[in-house]
Amino acid sequence: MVALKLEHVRKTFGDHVAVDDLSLEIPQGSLYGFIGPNGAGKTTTLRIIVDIIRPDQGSVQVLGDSDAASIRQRIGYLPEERGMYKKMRCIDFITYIATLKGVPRLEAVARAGRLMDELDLGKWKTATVDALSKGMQQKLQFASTVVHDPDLLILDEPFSGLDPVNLEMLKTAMLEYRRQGRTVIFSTHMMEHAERLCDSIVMIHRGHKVIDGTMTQVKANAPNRAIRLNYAGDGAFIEELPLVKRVREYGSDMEIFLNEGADSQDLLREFVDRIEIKTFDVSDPSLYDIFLQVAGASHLQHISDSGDLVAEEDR
Amino acid sequence: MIMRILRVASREYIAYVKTKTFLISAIAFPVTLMLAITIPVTLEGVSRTPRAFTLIDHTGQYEEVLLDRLFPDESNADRILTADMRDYIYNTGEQLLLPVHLIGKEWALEQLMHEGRLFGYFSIHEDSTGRKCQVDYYTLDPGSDGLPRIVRRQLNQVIALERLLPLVGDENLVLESLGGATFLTHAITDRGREEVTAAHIARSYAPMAFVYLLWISILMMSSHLMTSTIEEKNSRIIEVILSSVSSFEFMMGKLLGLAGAGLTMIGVWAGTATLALGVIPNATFHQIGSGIGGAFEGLTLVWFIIFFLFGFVFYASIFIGLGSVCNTMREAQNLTQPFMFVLMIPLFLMAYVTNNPDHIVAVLASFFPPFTPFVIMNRIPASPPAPAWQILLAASLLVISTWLVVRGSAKVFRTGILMYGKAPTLPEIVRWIRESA
Repeated sequence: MVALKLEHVRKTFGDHVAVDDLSLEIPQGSLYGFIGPNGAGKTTTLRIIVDIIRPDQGSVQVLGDSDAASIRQRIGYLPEERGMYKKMRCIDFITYIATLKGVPRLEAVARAGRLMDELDLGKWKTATVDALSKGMQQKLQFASTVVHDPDLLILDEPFSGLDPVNLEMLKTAMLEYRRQGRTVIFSTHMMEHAERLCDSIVMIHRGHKVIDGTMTQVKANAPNRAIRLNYAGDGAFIEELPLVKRVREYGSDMEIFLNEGADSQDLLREFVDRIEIKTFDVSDPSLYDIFLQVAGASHLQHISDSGDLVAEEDR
Repeated sequence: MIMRILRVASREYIAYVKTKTFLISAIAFPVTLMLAITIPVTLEGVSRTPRAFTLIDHTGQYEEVLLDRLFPDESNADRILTADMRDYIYNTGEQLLLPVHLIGKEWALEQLMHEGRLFGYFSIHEDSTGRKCQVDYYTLDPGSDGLPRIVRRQLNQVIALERLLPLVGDENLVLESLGGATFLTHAITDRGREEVTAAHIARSYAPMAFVYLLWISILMMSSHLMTSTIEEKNSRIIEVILSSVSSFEFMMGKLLGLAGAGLTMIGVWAGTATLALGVIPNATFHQIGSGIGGAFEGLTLVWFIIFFLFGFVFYASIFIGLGSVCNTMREAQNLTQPFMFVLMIPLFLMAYVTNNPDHIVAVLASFFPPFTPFVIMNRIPASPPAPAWQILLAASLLVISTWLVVRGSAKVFRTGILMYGKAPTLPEIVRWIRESA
């Protein structure tokens, strides 16, 4: 079952192409991460999915339905920039959002109360929203996102601005929703979050999809896997070794990129008598590394000769 | 869809009704108005310090006779006159300790007035031709004419009697001929002939009340609407809302909620007015009440509600569309300024339309949708009343154009509400509507 299907979606704002020819299929019951730097087009894509904006081209199918209005009630959306009616009472706000999502009023009141209790906000039911601390407001906003029991949860940068306690709470909640067979899609520019949580990711860069797949696939297919080395001694010879393509030096740390077909074990043998090895790490590359490489490969003009990512202007 | 619109509407309604502006307008305004009306009435009869006046008769002919006519009642020993709900007490020259010499007298009188001990005085003398009597009235308040009016009337009679009595020989005959014709206005209504009362006057001014009500409601609503839309935009609540309802549903909900609040406000005002005019034991108030009630009964009341609602929604949807593209109140005010000018015109037209309800200008203005609700409501209870076909045509035009404005605003709203940065200009907005059509 497919929870979300985008086909050749394109959206422009004036001269700026926010999303370009984006196709994507997200299976039901997955925890899917949208990653990419700020301004990559993640938010625009999510807004297109929840039908806040319409694409210029392409088609969107959510939960098997291409009529956005009919599936709004089954989607929970947490926007990047959180917003609530400041003068409304907390419980009224959640109830209001629930009724907009089609929950009958009495049921909505009951659910709102239950959710607030679960989130330790029970004391604040009749307080106005602006009386709450920022962290509590974030919890309240999350409550309003899930109060109608959505099948598809779309969270735009859900972790930004959260304290460690709320962060853990949110991650647990996301995993719990996935366990119940619901689909959770979230965007983040902090790759370590995605790396630890997601089953699958899609990487968006400058409106284009650059990587898409399960976490295992993505790591396995990562080009130019780097070996991380921490050592003592004179490492100048490493760059000259025939099996080494190039290195990136950070003092006593070094990232080594091997030539095609070269074996890391051969490299290790070269080191044994010449330097003192402290760490020799051939584990999977981080999403961050992969992103740097992939974004670099598809936009060579942004990569300097040494392979460093040149800071580019976020759009 | 309807349910979602109604849910948004009920939230907007409650949010608006809870604002301070609404509470102040709904309660404080009619209360102030009532106090303004009732205080002078209730204070009537409460004793007030009478204003002192005197008169100097340079001719020496009129003073005594005039005073006899001004104070014919022996029991009025203090010689107090009442005019326009104020008491005036006559002081003689001796009471005021005036000097006997004429020049000194006038100077002393002015001093007394500067000191506030004298309100005014009449100086009676011959005019420059020597054939007519002239009165100079000196007063601290040239705006109030109650006292000079009474003195003038009595003095004219005194003079007429003095000159005509020797010729006619009969005082009553002189007074009768001075009286002229008795003039009475009668109203012909469905109930037959009626004497003209405050009810008839109130009835002819009632449509003006409608125009003011609609106008004030639109003005108050517009500022609330734009503030709330800009707040929703800036607090980003709008994204949460738009992931739940379509922008059209949201906009319609806001419009209906506000229109409901507007009607509530008018209900509160009408309620307090009915209460004030009905409960306060004052015949004039009862007449005014029945006059206004008469102006808005039956079909007219139905038209009132229809034109109020559509007129309100017509302007509200313009303001909501404009509000959606703005990020600050200042931007919104700049953008809405031209529409505020348009909104002023029916006010200027009102006096003209009330007096010339069947003039071509009034008829044409009824068919121009931005003016329609104001102008046609002035014409429906007028005489001659607007013909049925004109009312129906005006209503149809207003309904159709309201629908078009709502559609156009929905398009602007959809794009504008998610747009941050510089607000577009009016021509740009018009282009959006055209392009998306």
